[in-house]
Amino acid sequence: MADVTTHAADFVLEIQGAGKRFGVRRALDGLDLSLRPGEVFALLGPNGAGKTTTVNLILGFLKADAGTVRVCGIDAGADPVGARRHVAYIPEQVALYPGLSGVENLRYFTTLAGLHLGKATARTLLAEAGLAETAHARPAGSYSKGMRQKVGIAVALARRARLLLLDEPTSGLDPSAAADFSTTVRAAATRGTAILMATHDLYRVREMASRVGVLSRGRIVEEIDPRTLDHVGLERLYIERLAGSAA
Amino acid sequence: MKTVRFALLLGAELRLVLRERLTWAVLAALVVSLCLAAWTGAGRVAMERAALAEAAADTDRVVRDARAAHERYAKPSPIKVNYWQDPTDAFGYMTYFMAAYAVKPPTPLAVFAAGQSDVQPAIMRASFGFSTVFDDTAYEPGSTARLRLGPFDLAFVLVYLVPLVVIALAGTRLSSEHDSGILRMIASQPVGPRRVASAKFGAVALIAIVATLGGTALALVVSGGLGAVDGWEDALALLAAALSAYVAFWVAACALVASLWRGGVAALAILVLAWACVTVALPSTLGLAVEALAPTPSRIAAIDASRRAQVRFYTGEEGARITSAWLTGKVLEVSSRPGLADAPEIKRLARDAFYDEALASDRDAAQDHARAAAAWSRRLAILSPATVLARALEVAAGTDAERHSAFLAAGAAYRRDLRAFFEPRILAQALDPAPVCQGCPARLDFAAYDAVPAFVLSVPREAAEHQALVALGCLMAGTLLLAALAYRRLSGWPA
Repeated sequence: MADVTTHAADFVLEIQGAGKRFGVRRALDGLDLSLRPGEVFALLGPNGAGKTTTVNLILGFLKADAGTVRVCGIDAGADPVGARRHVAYIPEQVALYPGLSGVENLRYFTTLAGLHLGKATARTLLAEAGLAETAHARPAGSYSKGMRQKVGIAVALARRARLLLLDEPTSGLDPSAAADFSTTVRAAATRGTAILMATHDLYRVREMASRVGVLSRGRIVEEIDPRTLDHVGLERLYIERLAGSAA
Repeated sequence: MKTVRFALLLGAELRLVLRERLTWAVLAALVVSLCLAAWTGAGRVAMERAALAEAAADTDRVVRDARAAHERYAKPSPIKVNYWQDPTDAFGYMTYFMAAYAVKPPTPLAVFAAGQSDVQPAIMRASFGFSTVFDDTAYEPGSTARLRLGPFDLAFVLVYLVPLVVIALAGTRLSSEHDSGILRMIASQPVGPRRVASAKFGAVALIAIVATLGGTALALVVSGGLGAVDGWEDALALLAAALSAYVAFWVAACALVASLWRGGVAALAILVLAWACVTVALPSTLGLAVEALAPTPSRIAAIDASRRAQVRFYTGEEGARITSAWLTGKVLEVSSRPGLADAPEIKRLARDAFYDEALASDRDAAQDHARAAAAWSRRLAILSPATVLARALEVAAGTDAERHSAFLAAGAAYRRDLRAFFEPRILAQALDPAPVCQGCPARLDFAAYDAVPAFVLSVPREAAEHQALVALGCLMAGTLLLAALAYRRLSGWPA
C-alpha cells in the first residue's frame, strides 16, 4: 500500500482526481493513483472500467478533463513527449515491423527515443529480455506473441524508463512464456522501475504485483495487498468489489 | 535521454523503406516505364530529325538540279520545254520545282514530350503547285488539355505514373502502422507525430525524388534521346527542380491523408481518387473550360467559304475580272502587253491573292482562336499540379500549342515571303520575256535559286525556362500548403 505521507517528488507516477469523458460516457471519474520506484501496481477491472483511458492519459495521447497526471513530475497532458521520456509501454499486442529482425526493430524503436544502439548492444538487450539468440536476426514476422513482447521489454530496458506500462501483458501467452515474462518484470522492478499493469490475469497479478487496485466506473474502488490473499481469494474479492460497485 | 536527432530518425526511416520489397518492385516498374517512355520519345525525335534532314537535302537537291537544268537549257538545242519543266521560268520554278519548308525543329529536350508531335507536324512544305486555299488549320489543336493525355512518352510517365509510384511508396505510411498496431509502439516513444511524420515522408520523398530524377536520367542515357543541351542547362535544371517539387507535392498529399488516421485502405482510396481528380478530371474540366472560353470557329464554315471563293473565281467572267483588277493594281502598263491577264502565271497569282483576301476573316478567326485557346490553357494550367508540370514539359520539349500556333503563323508568313519574292520576278518576266539565248530550250532567265528566302528556325529556350520556373513555383506553393495542413493536423497521436 502506498505511503500517503511520502513526498510527491518520490513518486514516479501521480494521478490526482483524473476525470475523462467521451461524450456522455464518463471513462474516468476522479482517479487517484501514485507509484513509487520499484512498485508493481496491477490495475484490475472489467472491460470499459477505464484501464486503457488511464494508460492513454499517462502516455499523453489524451488530456484529462479534470485533475492531473504527472510522470516524474512532468504533466503528461501539457508535455506528453517529456512525460514519455520516462515511460516505456508494452501494449497487449506488441506489433513490430514484420520485415525487420528483432535487432532491427529494437534499433528502430530506440532511434525514435533518441538512442543510437549498436548491433552488439541490441543483441545484449534482447538476450536480457529473454529472446533466444537464434531469433535475433530472424524477421519479426515469424515471432510469437511472447517473442514480440520480449522485444518490447528490450526497448524498455534500452530506454531505462522509470515507469513501465503493461497492457494485458500475459493474455495469449502460454504458461511458460507468461512465467518468463513475470520473471523479467520482477527483475525490472528490482532495478527500481515502477510498473503499472492493466490486466485480467489474477494468477499473474498475485505473482507479480506489490499492489492491486480494482478499477470500476473510472475510479479505484478498492486497493489490496496481494500478499494477504491467494489468487482464489483475490478472485473472490475482485468479483465482490465489482458486484458491489455495480450495485 | 538525448533529444531525438532528426538525421538519425531520417536514416532509420530510409533503411526501413529500402528494406521493403514493395519499394524495390515499385522503383523497378518506374525505371522500366521511364526507359520505355524515353525510347518512344527518342524514336519520335529521331524520326523528326530524319524528316528535317531529308527536307534540307531535298531543298539542296532541287537547287542543284535547277542549276544543272539551267545550264543544260541555256545551250541551243532542238528540244522544247514547257514552263512547268523549265527552272529558268520564275513561275515554273516557284510552282513545280521549288522545295521550301517551314520547319519546327525539335528542342534539345524534345524527348520529354515528343509523342504529342504525332498531331503536330514539325515540317510543312510551302507549296504553290496546287490550290492551298487557306492556312493549314487541320492540325490546329482544339483543347491542349486533351493533347496532354497523349502517348506513352516521358511526359505521360512523369505526370501520370510518378504520382501513383509516390502513392504506392508513401500512401500507407503511418496508416498501415495504425492498422497493424505498430503506431502504438511508435507513439509510446518520446517523440511527437510531426517529427515521425517528417522523417517517414521525408525519407519517401528523398527516395522517390532520387528514383524519378535518376531513372529519367538513366532512361535518357539508355535511349539516347537527349541530344546536346548546349545553352539548355538552366531549363533542364529547372525542369528537374519542378519534377522534384511534383514528387514532393504528392508526398505531402500522402502526409495530409495519413493525418486523417483513417487506416491504410481508406488512405489509398482517398489518394487514388485525388490522383484521378488532379491528373484526369481537373485537366479535362480545364479543357472544357478552354473550349467554353475560346470557342472553336466552325471548320465547316471555313471550308464552305473556300468552296464559295473557288466557285466565284471560276464562274463566268469573274476570274478574268478579278485577274484584271489585280493586275491593274500591280502593273501600270497593263495595256503594254495585250493578253497579259490571260497568262497562266498571272491568273494563278491573282487567284491566290483573291483567295487570301476572301478567306482572311476565316484565317484570322482560326488564328485568334488558337491564340485565345493557348492563352486560356496557359492561365488555367496552374490550377492543377498535373497540367502545370505537363505544360512545363511540353514547352521544354517544344511540343506546346503556343509554339505550334506560332509555327503555323510563321509557316503562313513564310509562304507570303516566298510569294513576295517571286511575284515581281514573275511579273517582270511576263511583261518582258527575255530568253537566255536564241534557239535554247530555256524560255526565260530566272537563276536566283540561292536567293529564295529560307525559313527562319525558332527554338524558344527562354519560354522553356520561364514555364519550368512557373511550374516550380506553383508546385512548391502547393507542396507547402499541403505540408502545412498536414503539420497542423499532426499535433498529437491518435488515442
